[in-house]
Amino acid sequence: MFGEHAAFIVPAYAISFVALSLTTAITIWIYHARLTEIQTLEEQKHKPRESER
Amino acid sequence: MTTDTVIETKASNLWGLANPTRFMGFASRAIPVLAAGTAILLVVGIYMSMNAPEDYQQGHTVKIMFIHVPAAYLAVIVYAIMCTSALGTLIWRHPLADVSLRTAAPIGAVFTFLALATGSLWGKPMWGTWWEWDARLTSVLVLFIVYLGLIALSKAFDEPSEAAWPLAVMTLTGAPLLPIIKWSVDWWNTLHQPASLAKFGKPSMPPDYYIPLLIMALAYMALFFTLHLMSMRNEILARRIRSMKMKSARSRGAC
Repeated sequence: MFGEHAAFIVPAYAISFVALSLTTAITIWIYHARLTEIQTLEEQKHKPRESER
Repeated sequence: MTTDTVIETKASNLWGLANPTRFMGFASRAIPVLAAGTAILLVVGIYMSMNAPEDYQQGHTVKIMFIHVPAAYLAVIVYAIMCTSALGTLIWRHPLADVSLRTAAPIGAVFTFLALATGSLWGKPMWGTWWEWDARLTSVLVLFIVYLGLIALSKAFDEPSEAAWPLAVMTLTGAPLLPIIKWSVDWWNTLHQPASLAKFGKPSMPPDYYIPLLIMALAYMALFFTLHLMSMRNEILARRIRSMKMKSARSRGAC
């Protein structure tokens, strides 16, 4: 499919795939991590502290 | 509708998005549409790229063009978007301009890295070298370093709003790189070929190459806008977390 230059074409596509997939995955992971953190902070806000019990 | 009314409507829409809640609503509607568009364009683009005929000079290595050229376009386009965002911070003081600028930089760096890496993998079989210090290659490498510098600068401040002004100024300082990259192949005698997609407004290649290249360029563009909106949403959430933590620390201090 790529002829004698497969050793250059395959890595070029592989690097692009890995870099772009990783960027997308990290962005999605950060989004979920931040949503979880906000949820935790919201719960803490409504929970009475030890001193208030 | 008069031109003034159109401009006013567009401006008010832009300022409407300055409200983070409204922007988050817009992002949550736009991201799935953009992501679906990106996926469709990528599948079609990669399929057409894989089935493109062998070039009489370059053989199968012409397939690298379909990922190298869009990455190089995005490297430059993202920086141009960052310059517009910098103007948005400095002139119009739009609250989302700084968010747009700082979140575009890492994505621009990834595309610039890909342009350099795939270019190198294309250069070796075609030119016989992985790297040549010619004007186009060197100016793109400088752009990559500028991206890394801007990312470092954006992380150097504890308070994000303090970084907005220096970040905008530094971004605009790098703006002259864009015309240098664009016309480096015309101004200097370089190993790099001239413009790929169009010369004098006409396609410079047969449709077998031109159409997949155009589709891949659109796919990369759609991917950038998807990632950019997602990153902007992440940055707004980070600022919300920061303000919640500060509020909580203040209320604890008051007790």
